[in-house]
Parts: sequence; structure tokens; C-alpha cells
Amino acid sequence: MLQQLVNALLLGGIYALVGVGFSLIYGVMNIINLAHGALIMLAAYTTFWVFQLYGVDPFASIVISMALFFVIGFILQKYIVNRVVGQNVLMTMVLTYGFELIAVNFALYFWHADYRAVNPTYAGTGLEIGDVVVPYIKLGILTVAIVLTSLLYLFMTRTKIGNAIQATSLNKDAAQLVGIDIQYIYSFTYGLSAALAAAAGTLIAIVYTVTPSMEGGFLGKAFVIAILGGLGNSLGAIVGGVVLALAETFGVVVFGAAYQQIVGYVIFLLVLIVRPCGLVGRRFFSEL
Amino acid sequence: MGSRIRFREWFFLLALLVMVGLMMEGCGLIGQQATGAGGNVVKIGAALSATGALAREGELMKRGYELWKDTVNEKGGIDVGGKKYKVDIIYYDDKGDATTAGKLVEKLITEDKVDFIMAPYSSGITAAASAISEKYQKIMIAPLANADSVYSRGFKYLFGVLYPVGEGFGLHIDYLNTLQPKVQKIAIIYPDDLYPTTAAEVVKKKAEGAGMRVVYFQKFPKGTQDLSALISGVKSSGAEALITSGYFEDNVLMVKTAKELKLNVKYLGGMGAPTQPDFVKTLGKNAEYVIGMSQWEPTSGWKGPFFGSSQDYNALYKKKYNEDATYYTAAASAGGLALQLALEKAGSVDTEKVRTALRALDVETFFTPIKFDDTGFNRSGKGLIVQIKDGKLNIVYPEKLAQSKGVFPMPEWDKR
Repeated sequence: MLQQLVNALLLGGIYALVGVGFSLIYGVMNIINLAHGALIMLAAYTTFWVFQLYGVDPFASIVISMALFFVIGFILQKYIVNRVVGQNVLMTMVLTYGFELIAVNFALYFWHADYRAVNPTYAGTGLEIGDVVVPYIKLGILTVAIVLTSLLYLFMTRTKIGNAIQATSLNKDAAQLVGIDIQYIYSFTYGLSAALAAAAGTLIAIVYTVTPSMEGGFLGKAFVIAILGGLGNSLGAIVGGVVLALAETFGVVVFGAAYQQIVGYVIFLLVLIVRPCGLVGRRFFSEL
Repeated sequence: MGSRIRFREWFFLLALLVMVGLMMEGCGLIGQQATGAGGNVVKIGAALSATGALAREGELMKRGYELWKDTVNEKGGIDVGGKKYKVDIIYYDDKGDATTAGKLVEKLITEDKVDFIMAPYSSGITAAASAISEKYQKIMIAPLANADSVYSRGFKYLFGVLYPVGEGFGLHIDYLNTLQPKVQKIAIIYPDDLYPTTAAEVVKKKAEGAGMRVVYFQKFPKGTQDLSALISGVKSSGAEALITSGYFEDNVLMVKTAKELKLNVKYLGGMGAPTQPDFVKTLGKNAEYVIGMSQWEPTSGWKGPFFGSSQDYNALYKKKYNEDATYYTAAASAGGLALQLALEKAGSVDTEKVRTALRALDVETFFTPIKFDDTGFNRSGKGLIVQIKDGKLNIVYPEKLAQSKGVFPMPEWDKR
């Protein structure tokens, strides 16, 4: 039982990273970013190639991929996604889904549907405390997840640009009135979100098989986690991730593995009905 | 000016001719016709996928039929009652569609008047096509259709070469039974999908029949990204062996998670996934000792008449196609071989006599042993159990084909 609890907490780390970037974009821009899974997938491939060709450890290359994807995200928003900000929801979905399709087929075309994996030497090793095993990799991922979301929280609350992002998400017009460059803030936020997706993709590459079609499952997870934690809430993403992981893990223990995902989605529905602002969100849905 | 119009008219006429030609070919009006002018010829018809989703499998099967045909004809033909018969095969493209395959089989029988039918690829298409051949009481040899449902319809003229689906996964139990110390407790995990579920249930029954206890039997959602909860469950169930009927990614995740959580089972196995080259590439050293199954390998070691051993067959194939043979091609050639052996034994090309001879067939071939049961299904065929050793596939079961003894129990993760 204790082992299952540890499993859940460690899985929660991955989930938190998957959800936090998705949540951020929705909070600030009101865009459901269906391209999020594709960004995770592309980052996983980046990690794979950097590891394969140059032998860079994934925990080190996370910095490279985050920087790279920040730039990609920034440009993507500035020249493409920005055209649909403020449009109806359907338009934003069509656009981001379109990007996803392009990204997946790009990956299929260039890298084929081959299964790939990143295998650092310490893969599979872990800390043993009594009967409980804590795999180093997943512990590392949880640590990175906590550090990154905390940094994001500090960034949002302590820096000028972070405050500007918050202001924009609270009231776009008022933010503009006090001299905030909304366009820049949007691009910056999308870049930030892409960087977080890259962090998630990098770490997922170590624990999961990298294929062009891996994006689908993670997009669904991102949705649930973001809603559970409260859309736009960065600390909420950790809560959402851990809650989903707990639900899935104990769903297996109590109801059997066939119900693993159902339990997660039932909780998701309950939260939507009872607490639409998320488990830790306040009524103002886009608050950070 | 006038000449330009004439040119246009000519061009139009030419285009029309080409179109008509294409249409005729599309309808199969210009097929490959019998070559054996004079002399005796066994005329065989085959509807195969040359285009569509199953084109690749169709091509591999056609190679198998062709390799058999060419080898027979080079040796002067099949000896049927003292006379030499050459083989001729007429092919049509079923486009991977069951209805089309059915129509083409009807055409082969009624218009081309073939003596025997070789089946298309896959259980689904064969099921449809064989209904037609059965109606006309023509023998159909099906090399690559091994769902039980194809043979449970009481057909008398259908013969399936590849051994049954369910028995494939059950091979784990046969192999486990030969290992010492005896495995008592076994865990089975499988994704929520039709084929893996059927396979898992068949194996569960078989394990219990063999006196093992299935201590952990769990279905997980298809395409899951995490198996820690299940592997922890397996660990606390005390299972000595863990097998999955899952897909490639499930197998990879199973092995990774087992190592991470230090699940030290004596036996870790999957189905086809561990035999794919990507498996070792993806898992590296962690793939060592994992057990998988294969329908046929060029190194199988089965021996029989005409083609010789699996290695001989592979050499023959390699000479022509410059690559190793796969089980698709081997099964197709084995289908031809089964018909050939029955023809020789019957001493006649008469359908009823050949059918009786096929029923009585009991022979080991380069592919597998072939012995059709009352439903026409080759249940005596056997797959292979392979274990990954030094990154290579190593046949460990059936014993008579084993390249070396399997490593059992597999070493604990810490002691590698």
C-alpha cells in the first residue's frame, strides 16, 4: 500500500508538469491549446536526439529544450496563434488542433512510427527503503516538477513581467490602459507554456516510449489536471497532477486496473459539477 | 489546321483505348493466363492484396506462392499418378476488401476454371472468400488465417496452415511446464482490447489446467502510460512469472517498470513485441532474458520434404529476394507445399481425392508440422519461444528446435 502511495506521488510529478503549461495558456489567453500534447511530443524527440547524437543527459538537456521551445512558442504565438486570440473557442481549437496534426505528421514523416527511448545508465535504479522502492528517475522528475512550478509561482508574483501576465489575465483592457504590451505578454506566456511542455516532454522521454502518436494521451491528461487544479493556477497543477495520479493508482488497487482511467475522469466530472473553479482555484478562474 | 484536329482526334481515341484497357484490367479481364501450353497443368487461383491496406502482406504472400511455383516447375513439376504436372497461378487484386475477394474467388472458379484456390491474407478476408469456394466445393488453402472462428463453420474444403491464435500465447505455459524449479504462481496482465483479452483468457485457463495458480489477472486501459500500480500489485501477489498479451509499448513499459520497482520474477514474457528489432533498441540491456514468441524464424530448425529445412528455405528465398524470409512468405510456400504433398499422395487432381489426402496429411515441413484436424485447421503447428540473449533472439522452445537452453530463472535486476 505504501508502495502504491509512493507510485502515485511520483506519477503526480509527471502529471503536474504536463498540466501546468496547458493551464497557464488557458488562464491568460482563454485558449484551449490542443497543440500542447504535440509540443510535449516534439520536446521528447528533441531530448531523444540530443541524447542519441551527443550523449547529453536528459536532466541537463532540459535547459536546452526549455530554451528552444520558449523561442518556438513565442514565435508560434506571435505569428499564428495571435490571430485567433479573442475569437470564439472553436476557432482557437481548430487552429491549435491543426498545428497538432501538422506536428504529428511531421514527426511521422521524418522519424517514422519507430519506437524510441532514452536510456541513461541510471535508468531503473532506485532507492530502497524497507519494502518500498523509489526509482531515482521518477524522484528526479518530481523534484524538477516542484522546482519548476515553484519558480513559475515566484516568477508570477515577484517579477514585473509576471505581474503583467497576471494583470493581463485578470483584465486585458485595464492592463492595456496601464501600459502593458498585451501582444508581448501573450507571446511570452505562450513561450513559457511551451517551455513547460518541453520540460514535461523531456522527462517523459526517459520513462515512456517516444512515438509520434504519444501526444494524444498526454493532451487528455493535461485537460483533466488543469481542470482539477483550477485553470490558470500553477500551484493548482501540482495538486491536480497528484490528485489524478492518486485516483488512478488507487483506482487500480480498489476497483481493478480496467477502471484506472475511469476513476480519474469521474473525479474530474465531480470537480466540474461541485467546484468548477478547481480544487484549489478561487472563484476568479484565471487567478494565479 | 485540319491536321491539328486530326491529331486531337487521334489523341482522344488513344486516350479512350488506354482507358478501356485500364478498365478491363481493373475488372480482371486481362489477367495472367495459363502458360503451360500442352502438358499437364495444375491451375491455381489466388486473390491477394496488391493494393490497399494489406498490400505489403499480400506482396509477401505472393512471393511465397511464386517461390513454391517456380521451385516446383524447375524440378519438372508435381508427380501426380506418374504424370508430371506444372503449376500455374492466376492472381487477382482483392484490394484488401473481403467482398472483392469473394467476387474474385467466384470469378476464378467459374470463368478461369481453376482447380484449387490459395487464400488471401488475414482471417477476415479469408472467412468471406472461403464461403464462396465452399459453395463451389473447391479446395481453399489458407496460409495466414488463424482465427478459430474461420474454421468453426463446418466447412469441408478449407484448410488452414498457420496454427491457432489462442495456442500461440499458450505456448508460454507449455514452456513454463518444462522449466525447473516449477513455477506455481503466475501473473497475467493485458490491455483492454479484443485480441489481447481473448489471448489472456485462453492462457489463464490453460495455466490453471496445468496446475498453476493465476495469482494476478488484470486488464489495463489500452495505451496506458503508467503500469507502476499494476507492477506493484504483481509484486505483492508473489507471482513467479509475469506475462502480457499487450502491444509493443505495453511490453516496454512492463519491463521498464519491473526493473524500476525491482520486481524480480523468474520469467518475464510477452507475445510478438519482444521479437521486434525495436524492442532491444528501445530497452537496451534491460531487454535481456525477456521472452517472446514468434510464428517462424529462418533459424526455426523444422525439416521436411521438398524445401528441406527452414534454413534451406531461407537460403532459397534470400537468393531470389536478397533478404531474410518472414513468416508471411514461409506460410504461403507451406500452403503450396501442403497442396503439392496431397496431390502426390492422391495421385489425382480430383478435388474429392485431394481433399481426402489433405485430411490424412501428417508431416513435418520447413514451416511447422502440418496435420489438419476435422475442421481443417492445422492445430499441430507450433510457434517458437525465443529469449533475448546478448541483444539477439534465441530459440529456447520447442526443445527439439532450441538453439540453446533458456536462462531460467532470469537473474535479479541487481545481479546483472
